[in-house]
Order: sequence, then C-alpha cells, then structure tokens
Amino acid sequence: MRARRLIVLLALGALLTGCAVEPDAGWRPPEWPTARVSVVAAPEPLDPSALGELRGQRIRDDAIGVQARWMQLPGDAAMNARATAVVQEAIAQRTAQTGTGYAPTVHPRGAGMGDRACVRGSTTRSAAELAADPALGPGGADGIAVVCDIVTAAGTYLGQRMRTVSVQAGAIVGDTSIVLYTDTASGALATGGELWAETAPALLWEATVDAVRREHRSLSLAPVAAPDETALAAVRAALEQTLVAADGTLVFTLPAGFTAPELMALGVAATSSPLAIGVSPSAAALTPFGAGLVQAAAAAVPYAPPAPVAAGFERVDCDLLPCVAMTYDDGPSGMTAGILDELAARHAAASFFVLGQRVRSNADVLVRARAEGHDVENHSWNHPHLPELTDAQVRDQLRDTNSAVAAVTGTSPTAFRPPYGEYDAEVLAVAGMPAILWDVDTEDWQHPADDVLLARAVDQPQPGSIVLQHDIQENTARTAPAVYDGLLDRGFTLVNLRQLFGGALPASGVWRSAR
Amino acid sequence: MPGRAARRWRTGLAITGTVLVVLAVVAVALWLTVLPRALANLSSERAAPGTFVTLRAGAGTATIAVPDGWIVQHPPFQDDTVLLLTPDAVLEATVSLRTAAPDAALAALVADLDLDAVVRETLSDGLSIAHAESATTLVAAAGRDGGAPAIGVVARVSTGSVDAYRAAIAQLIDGMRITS
Repeated sequence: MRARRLIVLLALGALLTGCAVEPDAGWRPPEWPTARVSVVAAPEPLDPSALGELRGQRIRDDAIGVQARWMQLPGDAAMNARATAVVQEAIAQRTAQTGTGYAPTVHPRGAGMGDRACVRGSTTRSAAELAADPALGPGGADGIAVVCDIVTAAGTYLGQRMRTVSVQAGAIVGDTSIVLYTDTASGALATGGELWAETAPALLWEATVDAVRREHRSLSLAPVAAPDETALAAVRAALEQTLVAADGTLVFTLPAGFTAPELMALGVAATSSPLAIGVSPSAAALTPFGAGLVQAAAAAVPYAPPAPVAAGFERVDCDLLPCVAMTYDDGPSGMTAGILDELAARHAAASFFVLGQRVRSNADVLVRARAEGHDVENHSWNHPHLPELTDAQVRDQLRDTNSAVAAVTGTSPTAFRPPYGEYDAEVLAVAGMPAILWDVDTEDWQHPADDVLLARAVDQPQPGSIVLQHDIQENTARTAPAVYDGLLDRGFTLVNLRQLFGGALPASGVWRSAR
Repeated sequence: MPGRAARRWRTGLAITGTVLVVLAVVAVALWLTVLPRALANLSSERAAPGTFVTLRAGAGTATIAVPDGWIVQHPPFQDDTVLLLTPDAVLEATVSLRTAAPDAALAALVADLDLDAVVRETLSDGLSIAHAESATTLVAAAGRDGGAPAIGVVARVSTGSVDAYRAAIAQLIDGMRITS
C-alpha cells in the first residue's frame, strides 16, 4: 500500500516538474548585428629601428621655417615619391608664405641632424608639444613640421603615417595626417582611404553609430539612418588615416564632435575627444590591396623588408636634400676597403678617381666599390701633368685607364679628374669626358693634424660640394668615420657624383661642384 | 474518568487542529511557489519560428514575437504575463502587459531593485522604451507615446552577467507590439 502511494507521488512530481523543456546548453546568445565594429584604442606606432632597410630622411630649413622627417624604402619609388611629395607640399606652402625660395640647407657641427628616423609616437603627440620640440618643430613661431611614424609592418606591407603641423605666431593653424601603405613586393601604393571599397564609408557610418549606441546601452534595433553628405565626408576623411592593428583589425579615428541623430535621441552628447573605431577584418569592405594588407597582418606574417639597395644606387633628390660628394683620388690602395666599410655602415656613397696603373692589383676592391654603388672614374694612368703631354699621350692615359677599369668592373668610367686639377682645352677635347674637379680641398696629402683635416672635410662643404681626398693617405682613412658622421650631423646626404648631378654625370665641361 | 476523557478529547482536537493548520500552510506555500512553476512547466513549449504570444490586460492587448528556440511558459490563470527563457534557460524574462503608462510601469517593476540610470529610446516600430539594469537584471517598459498600456519586461540571468544577453533581450523587445 505504501509502495503504491509512493509511486503515485513520484509520478505526480515527475508530471509537474519533468514536463519542462530541456535547456539547450550549447546555445549561445546572439551578437549585435554590427558587433564586428567597436570602440577601441588606436594601435601604437612601431619602432622603426626594429624594421630593416628603412632610411630616415630629415631636412631643416630655418630660413623658411620647415623641419621634416620621413622614411624611405630601398627601391620603392611609389612610397618614396609620395612621402617626398608631402614634404615638398610643406616647403611650397612656406615658400609662398615667406616669399623665400627653398634651398637644401646644412647646419653647423653639433646640429644633431644625423638623427633622421621617425621619432616614434610623434604623429600622436600634441601639436603644440611637437611644434616646440627642436628635434621636430620648425624652430620658430612660424613654420611647418612634418613628422612620421611607421604604423604597420606585416609581410611585404609597410605603412607610414605622415603628419604636417603648421604654426603661425606660435599658434597651431594646421594639423593634417596621411597614412601611406605600400606593398614592397609589387610596389603598389595606397592611402588609408584606398584600403576601403566604395561602399565602406556609408556602411561604417551606420556600424559606428550602432556601436556607439550599444556603448551607451541602447537596446533598439531600429536601423541607423543613412548618413548625409557632411557625415559621409567626415567618415571618408577619417578612413584616409586607417591603421591596421597587429591582429588585422582596421582602426579609423573620428575627430571630436562626432554625433548622429540616433545618438542625440538617446541623449548621447557629441564626442569630446577623438573616437577610435575598430573594424574586424572579416566585416570590412576592402579593396584587393586592403584585403592583402589585412590578411598579412591578421596572419601575423613577419615583416619582410625589400631587398637592400646600395646607397649609390638609390635615387636621391639633391634639390631637396643637402648633398655632398666625397671623392677619393690616386687609389685604389690597401686603405680603400676600410673607407668602403665606413661608407657602407652609414649607407653612404662616394666616388673614386683611380689611377689605371693601380687597377689590376686592386681589382677586388674596385669590384666591390662598383657593386656597392660607388662611382669609379678616371684619374689617368700614372698621374702626369696632362697639359704637358701630347694629345696621343693624354688619349693613352685616359683610354688605358678606362679599359683597365672596364676590364675589372665591367663598366667604363664616363668622367675624369685631371691630376693636380690641371687641364686645358686640348686635354678636354681629347678626353671627350667631363672633367670633375672639387670645391673643397682637404689637402690631406700635406698630412695636417687629424682635427684640422676633420674641420676642413666637415666644416667647409656646402650643399652640392665636391670634396677632394685621397684614399692613399692614412689620415684620410683614419678620419673617414668622423668625417662622415660630422657631415651627417650637419644634415648632409653623402652621395656619389651621379647622384649629385641628378642621376647622370654631365656629358662635358669642367665641374667644381653641382651648384 | 469523565475528566480524563475530556482531556483526551481536547488533546486530540488540538493535535488535529495543528495538523490541519500545518497542512493548510503547506498547501498555500505550494500554491504560491511550486504549483505555479509546476503548472507553468506543464505548459512549457519551445518556440518555433513565427511563434507569437498574446497578452491581455484590461482593454489592452499586445503580441510578443518569441525568438526561435526560446522556451515559453504560461503562468496559470494569467492572460497578462508570459515567462520566456532563452534556449539555454540562463535568462528568464517575465513579460507582462500593464495598464499603466511606461514610466509608471517601469517604476513599479523597478521597485526595490538597485539599477543604473534609465535609458530612453525608440524601438524600430516606434514604441518608446525606458530601461535600466544591474549586473544580473534588466527592467524595461515600452509603450506608445508614453500612454497606457505598457509592456513590462523583467529579465534576469541565473549565472553570469545580463550584458551577455543584451542582444538577445533587444531581439525580444524588438518583437513586442501593442495591438490595442
């Protein structure tokens, strides 16, 4: 009897409680329709020194009030040209404002211009702080500073943000930025805005408004109204500065004052500070370039810098950068290799006027010099006074030397330097090559004290100068590192003669400098 | 002897009375707690796509589009209230049609709860909604142009934070309509 009652009670209990629908433990709550867009912190810039094969560039012209830093990649013409264009725009603006023309400018020793890389974080510092920094600002109450940051490096992709800050009477009157991306494998270039497909701005507006209202606990699923032209323009401008975080998230920053009808209705005030919005790579409407970049970042592909290019093969704009050509006569010798080492350590180029009689016995070092992009030119066979020779003898001196150099390096000289700087019309006519002389003679062959030699080599050059030294003089070899560092510190770019003359040596004539 | 019999009678009466009182208390407790739940369980069903629940209160009616897979429980003898659980049964939302305006309905629902500031906004079909929340509970009241009736929602999670279920709650709220 008791057992029967127990069974009835259990059955009743099971009926009352066991009829509940079994929960689905595997079910997951839904996400917001646009949850792939969220308010994030903007990614920090990268350390440029940790990335290989980047060349820092820096100019400072106090006459017009411009200081600029930017990074160049070896052989990447599109990125370099676009970055340089940003600097040239700043120069043009200051030239127009001051009525003073721009000329590459160097500074006294101790100027610190050898520090040329992007200063990490300079594109995110306050404009006022940046303008007041001697290492970054225009150096006065009026002027323009151009600074840079490396913002992305993944696979073959590199991103550089360039910021232009204008100052007038000590007040910030302009502050614009552009982000440039390049695929070093293809040479393709895109701005931050060009990472996105045409439809992206409107979609991102709606997603951003939705994300912000979620931040403010909105529950409404009412669709966000399409943006008007003003709003669309604001998004497009923000997308121009799109950053790609290490995980592939795309981040764009809306300036302070962002609002929308949906947010106003929710009682959300316009933003009082910049608002960084992160977009999940999978949710982004991207161009093929943008998709490739994001894919590389999301997959954490290590940065693969482009193949190095020797300094002497780089394109250098000596109308923008203060260039100086170091030239070495009478070699090659046992000291030439050491000079090449010091040049290579500074990614610098030079020119060597060699004696034909020394070529064969120093073939290796000449081959190396050519391979590293230095100019190897003609200094006669054995250093005679050319005007005292017959035409045939002059011809033999120069022709034999050209042949010897060509036999060793595969390239024949296209310029000559007459020994002692002595020439006449007949020598020039017989040579059939331009005569390259110098405007700064360090007189190293007189064996001055090292500090005297250093002062001559470092302090005397002006932009466009050709400096004469001899790579057979011990003091020249010994002081080469200090000379290069001193010139770099003054703001010079050390180039070979081809670079000094805009990419090719002059066809004829006598040249003492490129000015 | 008569005295002893009377004493036994009184004792028996007292025991019987006590037992009856205890049984009555247990019955009432069951009626108020276990029975409604048990009866609701009896009416539990999993919502198929296109499931609607109609609530009635006074002259007002409202329909609730129940998200697919949610568990629907109808409390006995209550036309104005429905219990909705997410498929994992972690979130339980009590949805009721109330004869008050949204603000008054919200005030009544909030009662002694310690909630954040009230957020007011408009839903996709034009209903005005006011809502407030704590870590585990979200309370909302929606109505047309601030007038009665209002649909009240008290959503609670049994574990974790209600924040994880915000989109689910929004989906539920977006499917609420006041029909009269």
